[in-house]
Amino acid sequence: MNHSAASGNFTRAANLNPGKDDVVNDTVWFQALMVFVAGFSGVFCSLLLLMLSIKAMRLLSGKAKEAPKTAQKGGQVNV
Amino acid sequence: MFENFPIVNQVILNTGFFSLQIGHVIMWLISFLFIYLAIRKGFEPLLLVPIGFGILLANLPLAPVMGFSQQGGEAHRNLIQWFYDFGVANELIPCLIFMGVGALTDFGPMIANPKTLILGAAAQLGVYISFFAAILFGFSIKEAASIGIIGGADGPTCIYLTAIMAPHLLGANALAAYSYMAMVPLIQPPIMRLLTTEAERKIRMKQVRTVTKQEKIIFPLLGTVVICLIVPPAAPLMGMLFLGNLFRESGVVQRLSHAAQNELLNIVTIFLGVSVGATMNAEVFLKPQPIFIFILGIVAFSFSTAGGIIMAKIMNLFLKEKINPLIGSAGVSAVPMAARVSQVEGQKADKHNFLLMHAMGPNVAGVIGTAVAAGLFLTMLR
Repeated sequence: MNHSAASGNFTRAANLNPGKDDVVNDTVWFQALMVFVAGFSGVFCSLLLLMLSIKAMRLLSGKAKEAPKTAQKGGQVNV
Repeated sequence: MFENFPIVNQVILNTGFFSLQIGHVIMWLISFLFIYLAIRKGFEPLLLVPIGFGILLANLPLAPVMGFSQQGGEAHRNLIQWFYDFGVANELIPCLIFMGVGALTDFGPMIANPKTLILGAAAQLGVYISFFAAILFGFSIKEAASIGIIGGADGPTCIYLTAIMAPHLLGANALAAYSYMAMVPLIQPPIMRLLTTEAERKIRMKQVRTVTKQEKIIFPLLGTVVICLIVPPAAPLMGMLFLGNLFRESGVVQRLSHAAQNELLNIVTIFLGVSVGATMNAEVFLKPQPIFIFILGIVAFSFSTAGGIIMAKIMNLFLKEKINPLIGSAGVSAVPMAARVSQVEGQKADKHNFLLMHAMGPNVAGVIGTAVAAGLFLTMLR
């Protein structure tokens, strides 16, 4: 198959070797499937890790400071 | 006509009239349409005005604005070719725009509710669906990646990836991305209503907590390290985004923050718009490709919207405090328009429901998600 969309030429190349054409096609689709799976799961993993990092940051900074204040309000100071 | 006056004859023959073709006139009409939409309808005027004018300039026959001219036997870049080569082709301008975007963005709602990052990731669904669809349409795998990223609804990322992967599609891709971003209020609501029930649209969410200044300062540093370690090719975009955000949040470099979000952003927007517009000459643009790209662009936007909403519904199966699925659609990174659409749709179901701040979380998460998706395409296909 001629993937020459860049030049606006969408005509298929003369199919002199149909078997080879199918192999090329399969390779393209397999690569596309890999990109889909790896790409989409990669986006999820990256943002999931960022989410966990933000939660860790909150635990280490903001929340740790706020906790005693909340406890004092209720009169349950554990310090 | 003026055979006895060769100089006059030469001047007349070198006017644009003798080289004018129907394609040029069609491109002028397209240019006028974009300028009209920008001025009268307010569709992304900051970009559509320079893009529209760039299209006009590039389609003036014999005018040395784009491409190269022969001077003394040597090829010299024309005016806009300079902007294009040094700003767009070498990926400088999209990164500088990201610095400005970072300086303008408040990541507070996302830091307050980090779960919204998952919605930002799910809203990249359209990127991969349209990537597949583009291959089906006969585009090469690199071209498909550059078309798919339109679904992220992030102009600079789309231009960044296209300039590397398929520079010949730059004009059509950028135009599709910005046109659909302007049409977010038209594209998203029907999909939002189709995928949610009345009861779901009425879900009220707890008020977003206040994020400390310390968290806001640490976040850009944390984000840079985490994202750039996982996806190094996303570093130019993410690095500039978080640098701009650090300018903003640090509070000690207000001049730099102000420059990044005003002067710098405005200047590079001019160069970007004109350069992108000037890539659209009649010979390149009046082919079936841009039509396919526009079709694939709307597929991408629709699936991205659906991806965010469906993920919000899935998350609700496990969460004690339910989230309103309407904020999922804001995961497409058209900031802040997609978040505003969530707010408007939410208020149609319950006029006392305020979703804007909740929707800003997935909205800014979508910016990061799209840049990560672009980085992953570069990792796998470059």
